[in-house]
Amino acid sequence: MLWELCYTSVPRGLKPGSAGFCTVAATTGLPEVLSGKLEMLSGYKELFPPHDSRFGRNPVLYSHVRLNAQGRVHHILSRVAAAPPDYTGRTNKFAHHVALEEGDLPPAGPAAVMAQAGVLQAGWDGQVRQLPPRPGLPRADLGPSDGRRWRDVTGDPGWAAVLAADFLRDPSRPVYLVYPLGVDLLPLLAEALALLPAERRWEVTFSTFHRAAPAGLFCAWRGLPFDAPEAADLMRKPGQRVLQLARTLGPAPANALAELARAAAAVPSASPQETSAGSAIHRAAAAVNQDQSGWRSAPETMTAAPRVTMPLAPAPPARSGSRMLAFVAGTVAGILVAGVAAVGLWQVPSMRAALVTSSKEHRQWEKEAQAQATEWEQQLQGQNKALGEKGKELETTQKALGKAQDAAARALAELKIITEERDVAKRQLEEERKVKAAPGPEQARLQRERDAYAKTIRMVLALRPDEAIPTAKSEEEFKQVLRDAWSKVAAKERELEKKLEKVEKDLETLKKEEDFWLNSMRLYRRDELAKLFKDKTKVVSFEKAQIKQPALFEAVERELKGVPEKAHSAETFARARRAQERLADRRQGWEDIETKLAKHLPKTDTPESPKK
Amino acid sequence: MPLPPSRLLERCTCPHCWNHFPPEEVLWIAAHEDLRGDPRLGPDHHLRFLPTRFNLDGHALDARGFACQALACPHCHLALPRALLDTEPAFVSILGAPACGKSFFLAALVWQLRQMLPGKFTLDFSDTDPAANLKLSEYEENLFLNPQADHFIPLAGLIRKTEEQGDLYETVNYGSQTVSYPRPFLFTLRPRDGHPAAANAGAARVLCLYDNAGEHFLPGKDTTASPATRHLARAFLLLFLFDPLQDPRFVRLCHQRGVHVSGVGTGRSSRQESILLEAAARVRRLLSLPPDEKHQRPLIVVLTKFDAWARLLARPDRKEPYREVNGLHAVDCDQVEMRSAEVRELLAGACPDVVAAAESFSREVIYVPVSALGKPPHVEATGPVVRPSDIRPLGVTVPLLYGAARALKQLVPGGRRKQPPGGALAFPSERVLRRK
Repeated sequence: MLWELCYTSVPRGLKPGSAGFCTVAATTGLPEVLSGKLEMLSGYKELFPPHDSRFGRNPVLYSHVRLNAQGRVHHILSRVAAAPPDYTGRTNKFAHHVALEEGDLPPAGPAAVMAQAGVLQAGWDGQVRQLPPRPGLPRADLGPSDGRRWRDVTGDPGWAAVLAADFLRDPSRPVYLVYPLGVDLLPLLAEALALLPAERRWEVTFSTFHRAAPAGLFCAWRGLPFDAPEAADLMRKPGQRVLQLARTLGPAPANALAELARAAAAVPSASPQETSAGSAIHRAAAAVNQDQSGWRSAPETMTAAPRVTMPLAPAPPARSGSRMLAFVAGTVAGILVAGVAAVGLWQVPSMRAALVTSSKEHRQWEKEAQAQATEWEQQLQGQNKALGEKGKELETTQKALGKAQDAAARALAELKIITEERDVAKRQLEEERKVKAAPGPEQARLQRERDAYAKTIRMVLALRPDEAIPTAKSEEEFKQVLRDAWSKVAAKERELEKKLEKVEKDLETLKKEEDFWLNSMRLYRRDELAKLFKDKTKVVSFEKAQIKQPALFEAVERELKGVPEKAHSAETFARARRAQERLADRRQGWEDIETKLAKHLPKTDTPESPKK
Repeated sequence: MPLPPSRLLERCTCPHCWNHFPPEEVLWIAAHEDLRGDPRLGPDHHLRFLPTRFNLDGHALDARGFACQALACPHCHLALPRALLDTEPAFVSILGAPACGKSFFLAALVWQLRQMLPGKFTLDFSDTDPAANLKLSEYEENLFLNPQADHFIPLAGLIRKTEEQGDLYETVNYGSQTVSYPRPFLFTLRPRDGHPAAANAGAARVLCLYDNAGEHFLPGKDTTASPATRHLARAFLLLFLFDPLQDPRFVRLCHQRGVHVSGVGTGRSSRQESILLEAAARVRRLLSLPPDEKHQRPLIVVLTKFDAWARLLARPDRKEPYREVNGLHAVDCDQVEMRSAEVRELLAGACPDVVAAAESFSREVIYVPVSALGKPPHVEATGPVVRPSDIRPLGVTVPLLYGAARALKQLVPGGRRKQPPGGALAFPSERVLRRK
C-alpha cells in the first residue's frame, strides 16, 4: 500500500478545526499514527528569508527514512521546500511525503525514484482534499546512471563509489556531504546508490538538507549546503566523516566500485544500472566488503582530518577466494596439457614412420607441433611467472591477514571485557528481578542499598562550587576544601575496607571450623560419633572451639557494626552486607552443629583437657 | 572545614516532560565520543547513565573514564540544567491563536526583562542554559540588535512562523512511541545584593517559557505523540494572547470610533475564544478539575497590538505600572487592575464571548494591553514592514511581572495604594465582577 500526505500553512486544513501548518491532502484512509509521523518529518528551516533576493536558492530537502508505524516498516520519500509566504504573510513551506511498504520498493532505489518527475510534488495546487489511492511508483526503467554528475561536480565519478563503499563497510555511521548551493544532490545520490546491489539500495537513508531527525530515525547520508550554519559547525567538530563536494577533491581512492563507476562514466551505454552490469556490481560490492584491510584504515583517515576530502586509503587489488581457485585449477590444467604435449612430441618419429608417407607433410606437421609445443611452453612459463607473482601477493595478503588477526584478537579481548560487563549487569538485573518477584528481607536490603546510593548521589550533587565558594576565599581554596572532604571520605572508606578485610578473614576461619565439624558429622555415623567423642583430642578441640567461637563471633560483630551505614561506595556497602549475611549463616551453622553434637555427647561425660 | 548543607530540592521537575523525580535519580550524560547512542534519544545523542564513579570535583565518570558534567532527566533523557536540582521552576504558559504575535511578544518580553530586572527590581535575570535559549536569543537579536536596524524589513523576515517540528522541539522514543516535546527557554531569577530576599536562596526561581506554535492550541492537537501544551497544567501564570485585530467585531468598533487599523492585522479573522476554551478543557483534564470549579491560577488576557487601538481607551496612558518604593521598584497592582477594568469593559462590548470564556475558566482574570513593536508596521505591497530601530515594546513585561507580584512575592514586590476603610478587596477578579 502506498500512502501520501501534503503539508503546508493554510487557513483551513484537511482535518476539522486544523489551521496554520497542517495536512492539506492525504490518501483516503491514511492511518492516524502514520499521519502524525509524516507530519513530524515536515520540519524545514530556510537559509534565506522570503524578502531575501536569494530566497529562490533555498535548498530542497529530499529525504528517505525508514520508520515503524503500527508494527510495519515504511519507507518514507519526502520533498520539503520553502514556499511563498502563507495567508498570514509569514514564512511557509510545502512538504510532500510518500510512504511505501516493503513490497512496493522499485529496485532502482529511493533517490532514483524521487528524481522521477511526478513522484513528489513541488508545490501545492491549493485544493484541500483526500487523495485517491495511488498505483505503485515507476519500477526500474530509469535513465542510465553513468557517474556523469559526480564527474561534473568532483571531477572523478569514483567518489560516488567512495560513498557507496563506505555504506557497505559501515551502514550505521553517518557521512556528511557538504555541497555548494546550486548543486542538485539528489541525482548524485542516485548515482551512488546505483553502485550498490539492488537489494541494498533501500537500506540507505539520506537527506539532502539535513536537520535534526526525530528520535529513532537514522539518516546515513546527510547533505548540507556550505551556506548552512550547521556546515561550519560540522567542520569544527572532530571525528565526523565529511565529504566536501568540490573540484578540488582530486581522484578518488581506487577500489572495485570506483573502477566500475569510472568505466560506466567512460562508456555511458555500459551503465551499472543495466542488467548485464548487475553481477559486476555484486562482484565489486563483495570485493569492497571483503577488502578488510583497506576499509579498516578508512575511518582513521577520515577522523584524523575531517576537512580532508580524501576519506579512504587506496585499497589493495581486489581478490576473492573463487578467483584463486580458478587460477590454481588453470595452472594444473596447463601442466597436464604440457605433459600430454611432451608425450606427443616423443611419439612423433614412430608416428611419422608408420603413418606419414610424404616427408613434406612430415616436416610441416613437425614444424606445427614444434610451434605448438613452444607456445605451450611459453604459456607454462608465463603461468609459472604469474604463479610466482601471485605467491608474492599471497605472502603480502597473509601479512595483512596476520595484522588483521592481531586487530581481531584485540577486538575480541575488548569484546570479552564488554561481554563480562554485560554479564555482570545481567546478573544484577536478574538479582533485582528475583528480589522484586519475592518480596521480603531481600527487597528491604535492596531498598537499603538504593537509599545508600541515593545518599551518595545527593552528597555528590550537593558538592557544588556555587554553594561552597562563599565559605572559601577563592576557588582554589574551595577545590582544596573539596579535595580534603573527598580524601576524608576516601580515608574512611579505606578504614572500613580494612575492617571488612579482617572480618572476612575471621569469617573464613569460622567457615573452616564449621566445615571441619560438618565433615566430621558427615564422616561418622551415630555410633561412630560416640567413638569420636571418646577421642579426647577431638573433644578438647571441640571444647576449645566452643570457647573460642563466641568470642570470634562477637569480634566479627563488633567490627561489622555500623559499617554498611558508614559505607560511602555501593561496593563497600554490598561487601559489608555480604559479610553480615555470612556471619549470620556461620552463627546459625554453628548453632546447628552444637545442637546436633549435644544430642550425641553424654551429659555426664564432661570432656577433659589433654593435660588432665 | 565542614561542607555547606545541601539545598537540593526534594523533588525536581523536568522542564521538557514535566515529570517529577528525586534528585538522586538524575542521569549523567556520557562525555566520550564512543558512548553515543541513547535508547530514548537515538544514535546521535550521548548515552545517559547512572554513575558509580566520581572524580574529586564531584563529576561522574563515564564508562570510558571521562568526567561528565551534563545531567539528564531520568524519564525523557533530555538535558537538564543543574540549576533545576536546587531551584524551583516557575512555568509560564503563553497561548494564543496562530499569528497572534506570541513569538514577537516572547522576544520583546525577554529582552525587556533583561534590561529592566537587574536595575529596577534588583534581580539577576540570566540564561540558565544559554545553548537552549539560542533560538530566543536569535529572535531578540533580529528585533533589537539587527545590523540593518535602519532598513525596513518584512515582519516575516524578523521572526519566522513557529513550526510544529524542527529546532524548537525535542523528540524522545519510548519504545515504539515517539513523543515530541517543546524545547523550554530557561532563565534564572535570583535576588541580587540589596534585594530584601538576597539572603534567602530559596527565593530564586528558574523561569520556564515555551514558544508553542499557535497550531498546538487548536482543538485535537493535544496528543500523546505531541504533548506540547501540557505545561499549561504546571504554569503559575497563563498568558492568553488575544489579537483584537483578528476579530472583525473589534475592527468594526475601531472603525466606528475613527481608529484606523486596516493593514495592521493579518487581514483575516479567526475565532480566538475557541483556543481559550480548548486550553481550559486541557487544563481541566490534566488537573482533574470538576466542570464547575474554576482554575486557581491567574489568567492574564494579553491584548496585542495596543499601539494600533490605544485611542479606543478613555485614558490611553502608556506609562508602565512600576513605582519606586524605598529605593526598590514594585508593581503598582492597583494601576494594572484599573487598566484591566477599562480594557475589560471595551472587550466585553466588542467580544463578549472572549470575556465570558476567560472568566468562566479562571478565578482571577486580568486584561493587559501590550505592543511588542510599539508602533504599527508600514504596509507595503509585499506585506507589513518594520524598521528594527523603531521598535519600542510597550507594556510587554506587565503581564509577567504582575503575575510574579501575585505569586512570587518574595522576588517581585507588588504595591497597593491605601484603601479607604471598609473598602479592602482581596482579589481583582472580585473587583472586576463588582464593577460589572
